[in-house]
Amino acid sequence: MDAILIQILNGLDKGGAYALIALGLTLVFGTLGVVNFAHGALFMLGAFVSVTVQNILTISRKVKDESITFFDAYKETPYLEIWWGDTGAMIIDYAVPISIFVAIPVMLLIGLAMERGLIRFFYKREDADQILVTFGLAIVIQEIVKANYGANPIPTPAPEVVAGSAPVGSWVGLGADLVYPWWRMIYLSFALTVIGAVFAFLHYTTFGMVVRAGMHDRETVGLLGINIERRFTIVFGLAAVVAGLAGTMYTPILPPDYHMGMDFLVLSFVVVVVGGMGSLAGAVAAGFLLGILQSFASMNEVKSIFPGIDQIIIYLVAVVVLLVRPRGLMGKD
Amino acid sequence: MDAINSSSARKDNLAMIIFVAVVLTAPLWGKLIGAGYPDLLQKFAIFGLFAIGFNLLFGLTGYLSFGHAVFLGVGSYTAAWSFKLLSMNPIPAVIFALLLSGLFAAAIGYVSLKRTGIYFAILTLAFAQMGYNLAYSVLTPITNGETGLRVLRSDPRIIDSAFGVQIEGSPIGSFFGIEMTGYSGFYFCAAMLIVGFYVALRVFRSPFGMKLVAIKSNQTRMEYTGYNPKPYLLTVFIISGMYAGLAGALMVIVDPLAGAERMQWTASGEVVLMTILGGVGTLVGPLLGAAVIKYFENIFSAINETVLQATFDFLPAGLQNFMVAVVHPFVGEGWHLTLGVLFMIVIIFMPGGIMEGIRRLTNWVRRRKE
Repeated sequence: MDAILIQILNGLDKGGAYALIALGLTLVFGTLGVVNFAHGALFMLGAFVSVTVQNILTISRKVKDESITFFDAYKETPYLEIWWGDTGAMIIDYAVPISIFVAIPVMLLIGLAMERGLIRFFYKREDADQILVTFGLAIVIQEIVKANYGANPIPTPAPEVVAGSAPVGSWVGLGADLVYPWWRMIYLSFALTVIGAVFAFLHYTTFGMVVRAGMHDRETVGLLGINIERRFTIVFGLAAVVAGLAGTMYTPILPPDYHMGMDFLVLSFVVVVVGGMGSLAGAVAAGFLLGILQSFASMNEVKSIFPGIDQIIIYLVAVVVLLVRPRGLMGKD
Repeated sequence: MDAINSSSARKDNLAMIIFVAVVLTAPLWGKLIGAGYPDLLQKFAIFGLFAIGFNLLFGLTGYLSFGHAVFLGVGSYTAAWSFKLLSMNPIPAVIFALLLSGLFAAAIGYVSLKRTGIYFAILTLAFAQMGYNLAYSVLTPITNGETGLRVLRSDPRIIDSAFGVQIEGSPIGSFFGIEMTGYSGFYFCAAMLIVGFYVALRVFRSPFGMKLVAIKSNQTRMEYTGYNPKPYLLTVFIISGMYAGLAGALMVIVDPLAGAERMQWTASGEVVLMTILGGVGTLVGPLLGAAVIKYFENIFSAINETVLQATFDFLPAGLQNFMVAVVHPFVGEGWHLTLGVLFMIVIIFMPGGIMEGIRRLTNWVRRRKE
């Protein structure tokens, strides 16, 4: 029982990331009809927003170390600590949560620039061309990040307060050895909040209503005199923000490197396909489902029966779903 | 498309003769463009084969496979095992690689071809990732995981030992005594390339090729005329996978080492890029694309900061540093950035690749003459 619960919990945070990326992918596919192979790069850029924020906050100069008296020692001290002492140190500690506020405008801008600058010229081109041009863009973004930040993963720790684990076991009366890292719990609730916000936005605002109408029948909405293009541009920006936030918050769980985007993208595609292309709820459900499945497959008990299953479970599920139920779990038509 | 209509046997024979001549004289003209060394020429031939095979699928039917590298990997591992267990002779290695990659292609193709468009691309990608992940984890006894599969002196090699062939030094593929390194290695690859090119030419000109083009232009209409597209698609998928398997085997033949990174999706992306750059659906295009990419990869990745400083030496100091700073991210380690940019430019402005560029140029020249 404990083991099962812990696997579900472990799967949820990864599932949260899959769900957020897949949500954006589906949104863009449903509205613009474009398969965006650069969506993973947006996730990665989001992660590097938090690296950048951390780098900026920790800009430092050498200060004489007073604790060492018998020779002159210098150590790097961030300006924030020099100016504001402990408050400064606390701000640095909270680099990752702070970067959320940076990530939203930055990712929105990147998303809008991407749609206006490139994607919009590809609405009328073939599927293959769309896939290829966004694939090329993904390579370019990835290589630019690599050139600027190097190829190694960069540690971006969570704030000190939430560095430990939550004693989930003792809350529900299942023994104290059942623990779950605080940050993963925060990530999960963050993911759920963002997903909730996107759904609320689409369902309870006029803007969202138009977008949903456009997903069903783009032409008719256009004929009604609504500028659907403009709204779809904003939808693309929104998808970029969602992917970016997913990346920003994921950095304490997985130190970002330049190819994390592609690693997640391939899986997210599978998630979208399993959930049903064009179904937002399907994408979210499939994201969590596959996250949990993957987590179960990496249990030693399972691995001893099917060796290697943890590596391929997601792809296997995708293959089966595409063959048995081609429209996906919740897809229409 | 018009290449098919304007086909005539004599023209094809002429093209074939020119092609053979160009390939066989590669060491000579390679010197002129600074590519006159065997390693690079081998790469031209190997990746050329890979791209020609990929183009048979993508160029003719329009089915974009994003997982072709998996067959490359299968071919490599098979060849390496043939070297380990049977003989250092490349012939059995090639035969087994063709068979096994064909088998894999049949299985993957059978499943993937049930869907079209984006779904097909994602399915093939999923299979390739599955293969790659397995090669790294569970299949380590077969693939030797991260280290890569090496051919060792102590391997059994049943056929070789039956004939009493001894190996001195590190094992190298040997074609009845001719070592598969340097130019002899290139000529073996070149022979395979010529055969591969000939087969591709025959496929392009055959009724089978016509049916594949029909699938690309309008699958529904083809079904109405009474053809079931599935068997044709599966056949070309298998052929295309075998080309990739052959390319993978050749990699091992000229350098007896097989690694899982050959199966990564980036490798699949590279062959797509070569095909597009050269010209999708044309005969020579993919080969050209492969050669251009490998050629520039070779040149660009060798450039470092010192070389750049020297290149821009004629400029004033400030401007020199500026130019170096601008160009530096695109060369050396950053070669992939150049590749990505090039890729985007080609797709945006010239979806027909180099071949379309040449066609436009000749048309323009012809019009100027009139």
